[in-house]
Amino acid sequence: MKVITANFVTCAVKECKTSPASYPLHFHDAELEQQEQEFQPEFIRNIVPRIDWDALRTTANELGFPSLPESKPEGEALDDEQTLKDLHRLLLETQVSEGKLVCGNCGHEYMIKEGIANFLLPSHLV
Amino acid sequence: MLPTPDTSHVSFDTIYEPSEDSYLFLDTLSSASESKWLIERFDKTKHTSPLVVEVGTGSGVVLGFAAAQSEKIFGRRDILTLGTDVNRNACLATRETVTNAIKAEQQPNSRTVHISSLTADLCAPLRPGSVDVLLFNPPYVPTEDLPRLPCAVDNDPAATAAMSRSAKFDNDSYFLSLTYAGGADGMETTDRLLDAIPGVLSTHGVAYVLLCKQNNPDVVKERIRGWDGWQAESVGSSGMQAGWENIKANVWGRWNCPYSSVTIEIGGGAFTCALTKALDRVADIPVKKLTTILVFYSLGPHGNGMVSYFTSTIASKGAELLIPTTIKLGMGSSQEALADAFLVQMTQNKASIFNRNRHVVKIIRLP
Repeated sequence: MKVITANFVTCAVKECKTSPASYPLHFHDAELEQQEQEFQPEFIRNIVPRIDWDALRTTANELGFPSLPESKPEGEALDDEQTLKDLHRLLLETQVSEGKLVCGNCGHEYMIKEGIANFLLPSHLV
Repeated sequence: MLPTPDTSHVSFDTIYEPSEDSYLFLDTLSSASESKWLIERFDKTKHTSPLVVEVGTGSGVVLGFAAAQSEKIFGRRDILTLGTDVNRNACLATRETVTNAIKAEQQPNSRTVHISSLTADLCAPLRPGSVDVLLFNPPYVPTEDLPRLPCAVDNDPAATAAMSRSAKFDNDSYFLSLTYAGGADGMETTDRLLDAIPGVLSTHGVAYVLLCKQNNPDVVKERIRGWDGWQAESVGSSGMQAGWENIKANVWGRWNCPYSSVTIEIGGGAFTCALTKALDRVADIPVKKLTTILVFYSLGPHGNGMVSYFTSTIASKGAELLIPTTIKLGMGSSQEALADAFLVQMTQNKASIFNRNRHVVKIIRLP
């Protein structure tokens, strides 16, 4: 699963949805793989505006990436090739192959195996 | 015609094989009217990269098509695609189908991205308001019972690997039942998805959901129009004329053979008897719709008698027997061989148990 996925998922437990602590989920013991992809600056420019920047900063930190700028790049900052390349590498080239995603609210752990995260809940939580 | 994504790598033991309903989905998305609508809705000059999510991806053929044909369908390639399925095997298959389809159709310098396939119940882990386009070909066949929802342990590859043949068969049947069994009116799972739509779709969101006639699409559309700020319309349909095809028949065959629970007497016709009893158990609707049955018996003195019993039972249910087919297997054939032969015949003869009339309903959040 690509790192950008973390920006679009939250805890599957219904009661957690309203809690700010359930987003973003936190990566633990993540094994990363780099999958080279041709750089598409236009694509990154169109993705960034829809990214939740604070959540992405948290994710990047947990995965040991160099810290991202404090505020989301906008306007001219999105013409800076290095910025776009860094984001391309983080969002689209980095894959999480093993590990878990943990909810900051209920503590539930979602296992990631061979790049597939399992969000099915045990029956007592459904 | 735009190419259908390759699914030759997919094992259909637990995964729904692309069928006419899947193709209706592909045709609807790529139709001139829908692609025009989507291109305007997600106008490249005004909107960020859309997130396209398919729920219940199965083989991944629909999501793979949407991804690979993004330029034609959405007028742009900077699309993020994500799939969910309750079956981990389907997630693995989908990832491969989608990435292969993208590579086959798009140059490396301008490619749609598959961000992940998640094992999940419908949209459960998706962030509220994040989905721009939602695609769902549901388990829509009316059934007496709804199969239980799998939990994390059902998808443990190590557990499956350790199963006996009959346990594996039961497990496969269970996962296949999840691909089609929709409970009351075939709507129990679709209803849960519909309930989730207002929460998960973005302000520009649109959902495409496939329904069959027994789901009462007109009632469903009326219900959605009753929500505040939503519209629903049929944008694709198939099977207005009479016709038969193998929709869900292959999985139906597997699921309803009381295969692991009866002793099959090769030569005695007990399998046919058991099959008839299974038909008695299924809900009224499917049995009444049953117009083609493959008669299945083995060599032996009682075989023909069982066939007559079977035929008259079907007739008493008001159904017709159109293509009686004989599958002859020798003494000592295994249960697996019987079921495999049955499935092959079901598919080859395009046996149909359901009226093929289906709609793709588009659910739109109004501005």
